[in-house]
Amino acid sequence: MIPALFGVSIFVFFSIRLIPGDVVMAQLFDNPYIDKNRIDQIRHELGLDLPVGVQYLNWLGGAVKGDFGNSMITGRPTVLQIVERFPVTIELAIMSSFLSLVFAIPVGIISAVFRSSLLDYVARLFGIIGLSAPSFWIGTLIIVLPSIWWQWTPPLSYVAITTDPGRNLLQFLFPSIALGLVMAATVMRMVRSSLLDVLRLDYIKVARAKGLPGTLVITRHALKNSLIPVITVSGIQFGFLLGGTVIMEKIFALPGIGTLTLDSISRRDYTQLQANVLFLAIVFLLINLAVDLFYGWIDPRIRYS
Amino acid sequence: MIKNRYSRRNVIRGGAGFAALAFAAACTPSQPASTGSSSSSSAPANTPKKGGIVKTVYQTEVPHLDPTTETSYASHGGPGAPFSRLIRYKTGPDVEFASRTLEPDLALTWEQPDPVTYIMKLRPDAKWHNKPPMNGRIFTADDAKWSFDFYRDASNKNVFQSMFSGIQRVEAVDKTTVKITLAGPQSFFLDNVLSSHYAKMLPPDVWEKEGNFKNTVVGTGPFMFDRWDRGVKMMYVKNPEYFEPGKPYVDGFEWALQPDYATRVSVLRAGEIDYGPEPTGAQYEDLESIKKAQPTLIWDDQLRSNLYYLALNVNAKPFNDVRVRQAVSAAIDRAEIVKTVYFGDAVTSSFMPQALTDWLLPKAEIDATFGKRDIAKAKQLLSAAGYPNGVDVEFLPRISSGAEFSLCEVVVAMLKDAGINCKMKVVTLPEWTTALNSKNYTIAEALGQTSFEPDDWTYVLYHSKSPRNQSGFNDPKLDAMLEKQRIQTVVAERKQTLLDIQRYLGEQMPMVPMMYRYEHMSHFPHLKNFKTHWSYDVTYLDKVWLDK
Repeated sequence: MIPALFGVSIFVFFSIRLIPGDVVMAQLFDNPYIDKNRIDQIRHELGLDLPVGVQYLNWLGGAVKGDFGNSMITGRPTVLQIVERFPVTIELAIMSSFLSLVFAIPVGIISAVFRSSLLDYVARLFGIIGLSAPSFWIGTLIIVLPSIWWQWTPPLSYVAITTDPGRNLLQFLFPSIALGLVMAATVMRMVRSSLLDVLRLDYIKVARAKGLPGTLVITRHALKNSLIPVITVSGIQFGFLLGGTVIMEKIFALPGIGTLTLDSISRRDYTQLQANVLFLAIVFLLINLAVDLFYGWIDPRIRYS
Repeated sequence: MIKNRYSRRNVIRGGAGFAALAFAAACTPSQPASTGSSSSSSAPANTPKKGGIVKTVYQTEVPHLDPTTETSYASHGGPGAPFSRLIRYKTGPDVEFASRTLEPDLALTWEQPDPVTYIMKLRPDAKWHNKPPMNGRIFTADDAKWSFDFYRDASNKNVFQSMFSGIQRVEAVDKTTVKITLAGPQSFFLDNVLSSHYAKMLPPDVWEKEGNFKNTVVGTGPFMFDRWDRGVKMMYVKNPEYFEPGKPYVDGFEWALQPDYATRVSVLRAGEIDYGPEPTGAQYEDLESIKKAQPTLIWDDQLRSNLYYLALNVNAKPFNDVRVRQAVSAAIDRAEIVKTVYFGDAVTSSFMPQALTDWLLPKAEIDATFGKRDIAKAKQLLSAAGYPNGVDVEFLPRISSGAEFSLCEVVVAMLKDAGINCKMKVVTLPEWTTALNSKNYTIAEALGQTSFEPDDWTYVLYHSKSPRNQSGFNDPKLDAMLEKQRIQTVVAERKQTLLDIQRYLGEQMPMVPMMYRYEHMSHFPHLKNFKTHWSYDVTYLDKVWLDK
């Protein structure tokens, strides 16, 4: 994990500096009154006049001690800004994943069990639409269409769950639906495909031959084995959600880590972006580890020595 | 098991039919939104009602609360409401959007005994907000002096030194009298420096205590900063001790962040806000749906002062030749751009905004220079400049999407007709700005500033020493005229100089102006006494009230 993080830190540190312009120009580009002396002064204060390698070593020296520096834009500690924003993103990711699984697993089961029926075709059509339609388009429609038809929008001003749980959950419901639908398409197809493979196996035939009800055959014997690849996909999707809800956060005005990262890129806030990416890399690696450990629990055939 | 009564073929046929219907519906053109002025401000004052929170949405999160290190509207719009200046622009339902009429703010009266001296008499009862560390004390001439000295001090981090560099000294003659002495006459000192939204009176005790203004907001304005939910909204509450008795009428206002334009328009359709959306209202393509959803909205259609133009690097080939620059202008069909790119929701322009009617060249002269496209003339000019077979140049659009990028595509096509072959280089906005500021470009599409002061459209853009001289134009004759209009305090004389400048610019064409767009702000009828103004803040909210 450490080598991976080290590689990520080098990659993000140097790649963002390849983008033309820096934080000073990004901040002051529309300022009609600034002069070159002031620009140079600001660059010096931020350490941007040092060689890039020296900048990296300075940053790394702080990072190994837990000091990821201050935002070049706000001046606030980068870790503090991540801590403020991450709960929003994690809530969105959890709700989206939950909704996608709640929807996708039953639909995938129905689609597999009633293969080649109308239900199956409808489910597969949904799968194709879900894979094709961008989540941000669905999210935009969720806001725009009700405003046109009924002069109504979902709640768009963030309230913490500890302040007003009902309003918070209502606010997160709609972006979660938009994200969850797209995720559900992949999961549904995976459930269907995986379940179809399992249903062909001999032990399922034995279970049916013993006279077990169809529902029990599916839920107690087939489903558990078919969920293994679904766990993989869901885990990866969850990991991507943590860094990939940028557009949804922007559309629904959610102050999450996605918008923080996007703003950091557009404003060339190097320190904030480095901290964000490193943090997300850590989270992603931990999620992958959790998924791997979960395998071992769900499938006794998989054990790690 | 359900029998398979639906063959794969039938399902595909049905799905294709549905998709075709949906495609046809999506392709049906909607009626173009009506444009032009439908302005009618809310009815003149009835009896103001107290109470309520005015709500609007804005686009961009501010990095912090310090107004001295930021120039964007996001930092000076809503966040500017707690602050006052010595004088300000008059606003209100009976004031035109582009009006530059001045009225008292912290200064009740002012006089100018000589061309370089201004005596400002302050209100004796204006107080700082009753919050630490200013704790509601009286605003004095010492505070005003402190603010101007701060702005002029190059050692602190404020970014406005050059704006106040014309001030030689500021004296607090007594508690309510401020004397400002300039280094030389400035024709625009009152209405572009003292009244500027950047000339906020700053709380000295906050600086002494914290060394910056990033976290503590204390002013003398009609609204006090209440709280900032980062990434969500900023809340402002009325100043109960505001120096205009009875105002503001509302309890406060909410400045909510909605980065996505479609979302901002949707909340207007849903009636979730009282006016807006900030910063520039709705775009023309959404007007119809908004008017249908909310027919009671009162619209204020105004021409924005932001000019779309082509910046030309006059120190690089081929635009170092005035004939090539003239060819660019001749090749552009401005009327056609207004019609095809903006569906009529814009007007063609000369070097200054149309609203500056007192300073513009006569229409006939403007039309003669910019009115009609002349490809034959453009080719002739190019040929005379040594490019009979045309010329290849790199074109830098300002942004890479939306109507503005469509504008660039149309311009490139028009220039091609004249033999100016543009290769588009799409970059990010900071890269674009860096390229223009460092003169590392050939030709670029650009968007001008928000201002209704002629100096901002002349000296700032074309003087050889101005940091905003993107073209690099360095002409002693023009510099002399630009410096002259700055110090001419007799309006008729200044106007003549500005007319001469515009004529000279028309000959030299250091940049090619194109058009201005309309701004469509609206408000609900329950928001009384409301009208937007071009000035960069929302202190006009001190006059409004809610009647729900």
